[in-house]
Amino acid sequence: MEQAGEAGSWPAVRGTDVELIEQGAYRFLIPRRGEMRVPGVICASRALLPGPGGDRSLEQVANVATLPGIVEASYAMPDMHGGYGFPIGGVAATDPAQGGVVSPGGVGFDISCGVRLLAADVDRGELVPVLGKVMNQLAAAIPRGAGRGGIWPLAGTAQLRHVLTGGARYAVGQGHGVERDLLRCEDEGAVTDADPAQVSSRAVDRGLQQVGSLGSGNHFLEVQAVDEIYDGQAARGFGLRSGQVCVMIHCGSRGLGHQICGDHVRAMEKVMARYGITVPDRQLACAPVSSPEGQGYLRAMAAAANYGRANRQVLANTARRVFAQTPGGGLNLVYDVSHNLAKIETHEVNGRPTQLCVHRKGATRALPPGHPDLPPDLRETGQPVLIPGSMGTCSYVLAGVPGGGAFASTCHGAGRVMSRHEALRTVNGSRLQRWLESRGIAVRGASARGLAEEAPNAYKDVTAVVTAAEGAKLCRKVARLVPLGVVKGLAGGGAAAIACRAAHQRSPGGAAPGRPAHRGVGGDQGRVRR
Amino acid sequence: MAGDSEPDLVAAAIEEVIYRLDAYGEIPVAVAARRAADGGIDLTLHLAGLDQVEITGAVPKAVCLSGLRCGRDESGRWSCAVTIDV
Repeated sequence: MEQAGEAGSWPAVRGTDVELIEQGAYRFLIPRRGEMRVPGVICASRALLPGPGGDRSLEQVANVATLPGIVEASYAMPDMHGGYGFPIGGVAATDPAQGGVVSPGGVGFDISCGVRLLAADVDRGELVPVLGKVMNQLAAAIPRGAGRGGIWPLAGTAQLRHVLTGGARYAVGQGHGVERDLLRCEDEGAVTDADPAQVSSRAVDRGLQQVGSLGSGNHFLEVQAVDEIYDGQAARGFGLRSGQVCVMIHCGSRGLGHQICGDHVRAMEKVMARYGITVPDRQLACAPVSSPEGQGYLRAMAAAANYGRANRQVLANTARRVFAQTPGGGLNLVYDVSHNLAKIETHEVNGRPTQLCVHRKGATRALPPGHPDLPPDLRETGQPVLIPGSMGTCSYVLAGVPGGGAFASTCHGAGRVMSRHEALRTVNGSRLQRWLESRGIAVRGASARGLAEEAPNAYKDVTAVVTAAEGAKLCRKVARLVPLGVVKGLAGGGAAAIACRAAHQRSPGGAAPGRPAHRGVGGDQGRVRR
Repeated sequence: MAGDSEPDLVAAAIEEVIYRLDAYGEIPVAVAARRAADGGIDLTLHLAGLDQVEITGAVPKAVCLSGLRCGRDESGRWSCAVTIDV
């Protein structure tokens, strides 16, 4: 395992409060200082670093380095940007035998958010004449946006428990896919240590009616075409060929995962003092991996991971049904991989195989060729890594490499550089839609405001991110995909809230006049105690 | 609730709204909060179905504890900051 170096004589990068030392074209070091137990290592080009007045991601990398039991370094991938507590694009491994902690903030709210790629039997030339029809059918078939309404209406909590323990395996067993799908899913579609008893009733309530739904924000279903192959042998192994149509799905564990993260952050906050732990940011709340709280979170997180995989499985099978009608033919799973997860893995630390709790938040596991956890047909090439670009730009398929650093991790996407508010201020959504359509990209399900939030210039250049990840020896390129059509969630404006017209029309008593369908005129009273 | 603080009460109130939205497809069109005798708050939500409103913003999913604050600073000026994940 690559070891994080000590500070050298390279000049510090200006424009940041954190001391940063350049150690090569794609490696910057944050030397240990204060409470940091290990250095920070940024795997990025200089151009991808946050500039003056940029986000707090470098400070967050340093904060993560203070966590008990962290080993080697607090890593950041080239698509790093500011998150809550942990940076997005952060990788941190702790040693449970040395008091190492697990932090829900190191996984993120959307547990097991990830990407699934399916390869179609048809080529681009066959799809383009019927693209509009296919996109309309996908838009009609894929639930998205706020609230309830998944493709798979579960019978109740008993069936949800099966989803939480069985993940994509259970979904396939219930008719939402084929057995081969499971061979191409991380962990064969389900992790084994999920415990629904660690999932709160609120999380259950939020999860019951959202299996098979896209959500909103930066989640999407995109129809793509293979534009360029960099590694023919690996591409063939993955089931990809030039000109082939693909479907990429990006989503996670919906409200259930968010609730689990929030519940366990608060539970850990309450007990940190008992374990003698202090953290520089409340969202870094953590507990020893071996503690009841640590184990409780890991088992709840595993349940959410299974939910996320079942969710993508159901969505993929729905896309498969659409494609079977128009343009005809199958959709074969290339791979499904999470980029928000903590896993117990074995890595070499100081030359010795050591069991670690590896947090990847906005970072993708990238197992090298020959790794025993890979399915036999992928063992020679290494694990497929799926990197969605920003809307209207290209996406990449990568593969793990021998000796991959950062505990066999790499980037997860383009990485935001502009807040939603800032994007709304600077981007005209209608103009963006026209630009997308002028390039032959069909857009469904997005308002002009929603498009503006996800504008390509709100993100880093995904090609620069992938170049840096490859330059840092974290992965290698296999193929590039270009978008043909996208189904987005029904996200709207820049506010992190739902504004509703009815709210502006409400009477002093609270009920909107002329809207008899309003419920709860007497109020639905909730009790909030401190 | 973790922490006996005003910011945590604000967070809990917003989380209640998010929960109602996600689990029941309901959105408050009027909200009232009253201090309760035990130091908590009584929160009254007048709810409408999501199908009754126009969605104009990204869907809120969770309240972040980073940077959460609510109260008066040294100069006596009141402010509140909450980051909501979407």
